[in-house]
Amino acid sequence: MDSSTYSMVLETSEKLFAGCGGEGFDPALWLAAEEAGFPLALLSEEHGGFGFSAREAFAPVRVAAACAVALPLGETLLANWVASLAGLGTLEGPVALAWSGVAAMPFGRYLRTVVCLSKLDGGVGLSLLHPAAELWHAGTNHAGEERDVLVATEPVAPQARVAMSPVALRAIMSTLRTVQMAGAIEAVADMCLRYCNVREQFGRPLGKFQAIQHQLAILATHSCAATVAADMAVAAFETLATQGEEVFIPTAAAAKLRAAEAATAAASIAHQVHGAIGFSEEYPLHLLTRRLWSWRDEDGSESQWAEYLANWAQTQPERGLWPALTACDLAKVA
Amino acid sequence: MALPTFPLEATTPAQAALRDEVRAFLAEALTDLPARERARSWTGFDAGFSRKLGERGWLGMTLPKEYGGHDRSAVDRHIVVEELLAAGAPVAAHWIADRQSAPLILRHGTEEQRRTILPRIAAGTCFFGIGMSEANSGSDLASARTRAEKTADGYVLNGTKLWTTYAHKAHYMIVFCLTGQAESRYGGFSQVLVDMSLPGISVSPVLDIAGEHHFNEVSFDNVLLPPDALLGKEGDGWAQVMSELAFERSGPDRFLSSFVLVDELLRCLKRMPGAAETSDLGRMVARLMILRQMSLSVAGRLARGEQPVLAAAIVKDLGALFEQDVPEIARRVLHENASDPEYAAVFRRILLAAPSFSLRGGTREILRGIIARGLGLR
Ligand SMILES: Cc1cc2nc3c(=O)[nH]c(=O)nc-3n(C[C@H](O)[C@H](O)[C@H](O)COP(=O)(O)OP(=O)(O)OC[C@H]3O[C@@H](n4cnc5c(N)ncnc54)[C@H](O)[C@@H]3O)c2cc1C
Repeated sequence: MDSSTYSMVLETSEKLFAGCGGEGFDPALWLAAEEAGFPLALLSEEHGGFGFSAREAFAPVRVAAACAVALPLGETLLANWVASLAGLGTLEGPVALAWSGVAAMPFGRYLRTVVCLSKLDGGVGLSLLHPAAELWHAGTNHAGEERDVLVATEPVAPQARVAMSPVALRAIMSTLRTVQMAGAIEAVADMCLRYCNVREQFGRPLGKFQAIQHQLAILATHSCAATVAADMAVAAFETLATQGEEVFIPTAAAAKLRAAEAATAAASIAHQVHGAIGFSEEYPLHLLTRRLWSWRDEDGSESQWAEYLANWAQTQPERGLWPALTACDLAKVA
Repeated sequence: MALPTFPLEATTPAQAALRDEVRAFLAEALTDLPARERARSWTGFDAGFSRKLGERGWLGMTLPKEYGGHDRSAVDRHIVVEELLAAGAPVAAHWIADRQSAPLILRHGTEEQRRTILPRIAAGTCFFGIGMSEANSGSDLASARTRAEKTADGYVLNGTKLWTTYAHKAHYMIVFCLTGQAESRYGGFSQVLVDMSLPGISVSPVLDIAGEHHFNEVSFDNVLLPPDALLGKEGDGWAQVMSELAFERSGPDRFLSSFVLVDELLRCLKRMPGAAETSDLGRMVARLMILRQMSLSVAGRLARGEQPVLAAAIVKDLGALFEQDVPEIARRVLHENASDPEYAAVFRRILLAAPSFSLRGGTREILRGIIARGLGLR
């Protein structure tokens, strides 16, 4: 991990996204993000990318989420990564991965390319679609981010394949939501702390009341847990080639679940400590909390991943959960 | 914002090998220990077992070699402790000595204290009690009234400590007490090293809600302490005790106390009717996976010489919630639990131990106060 690259990426994305929060896709901001190279960052330099580590490549995604920016940044990043794995080259963005037949796609109407996924024996098939804008049936998630349904899709034969299980691909897509949740929860915590330090009632800042302090402490524990969860999922994604799907999938599933639990707690505490102002459209808290309420169930709902992990635990041999857990530990590369 | 960082810790091949070695040893050493005994977690007492760990070099791991230790990192120790607790090994005998008394003596003790005591802790033959709480001084430790009066030949100790875990088996107790006049609320305190064989000490059992005996009331009636009983500096007791608590707060003991019940639940689910909806189980596993990495991350920070007080408090708060939720989740997931006697015994033990998880080592409310302070709110 090149930490100077990491901090450089953080800084660049903070500069780019700060103050740009809003509800839906922002075409001008997308061009700026493309200019900065974020959507291709995971690709090697020969494929037009930067050869970033996963941690570096996901940093702008986290920052964008913290700034409540609606861009298919992570979607494009991952779609290009999968496409290059399958030898399909670099795709014109925005791009998203989508399972054939699945209802809503992120930012559908703005996508230049859809990487349509289908289950094959021993892998996942990929076909590229370039649907015209009028083929999309517009919809949104709870946060007003575009989630559109492709009205007429004729089945297309896969043009390429990746040797990866469908559930691994699903876990990769869910990792994007985990990273976004971690970013947004931290921003929520930050907003709450700042607010409770300035808002006064009964002659004191709210943050001086023990009941409020304890709520903020709980919020902090969840934010830390979500951040660690996201780091774990990204690190396991990074080592997918060496440590394998057996490590990545349960890690990503746990991370998504834990971040979702944190999202629920964070949104609830944040609205409580903000009072009515936080419930108003004018105040930016809802740009984060409504996204959290969406992301916790996107790309595998909380209950689906919970069932997956329950099953994973139950299918270990007797007293085998512990060895299975430690087998997921991040291994230091020599 | 002042949220702490939890950098991920990656395991080296040597650390993975250490884990395997401990696991293989435990599989052998604990074959005959039934689950209901393993469920005692770190309150299970077996002096012989502690000695065996000492022989293996798995106690006093972070102590320097010159004091009988092994110069290993906090992360290596963390790995050993995780394996011990996950297996439900009876670690209580050496637990307090290895976890907090040894680092305390290493940091603040005299050369003489280090030379005489640390090698015995590392050998697993010297056990310790923590003498902080009193009847009227729990969370508010600065209200402790036990006093060591300075005399020409040392100190005279008077007072009564309460809730002292395994004082009835301990060779030493580190007693937090007044030694001077308090100029401030936190001043005037010291820590003294009390040899439990001295005359004037009486230890009486206090039973817990399951009728178990682990903690005690310990009275000191004009106990004559030699001058070298002082641990650290006179008047520095408060600062010393606060740094001691940081060692106490982030380890695997803060989230694995009910792990044996997790194992037992999974065993029973293989052949007994469970809820069709097992998503609670999945959520539980997820929380455990993230907690493990958070705790390991704190160990990594300790190994680098940092003092991650805020991060430790966060791990302990989340860990206690997890440990306490395990029996509740087990109830929801498994339809009936009486027909498997081993499961039933484990369940009851954990259920009846659970209230203590958010009391010992600093209550939930105190931890949240520490976190709030770390966030700049206090
Ligand atoms: C199993 C077990 C083993 C123990 N072993 C030891 C040991 O070996 N050595 C030792 O010294 N002690 C030991 N203790 C004692 C433990 O440290 C104390 O129980 C703990 O510090 C709390 O003190 P208390 O029980 O007097 O509760 P109190 O301090 O009286 O607290 C009661 C309740 O009030 C809350 N409260 C207190 N102050 C505040 C505040 N300012 N704001 C909000 N809420 C507050 C607490 O959080 C708690 O919920 C042990 C306890 C247990 C349960």
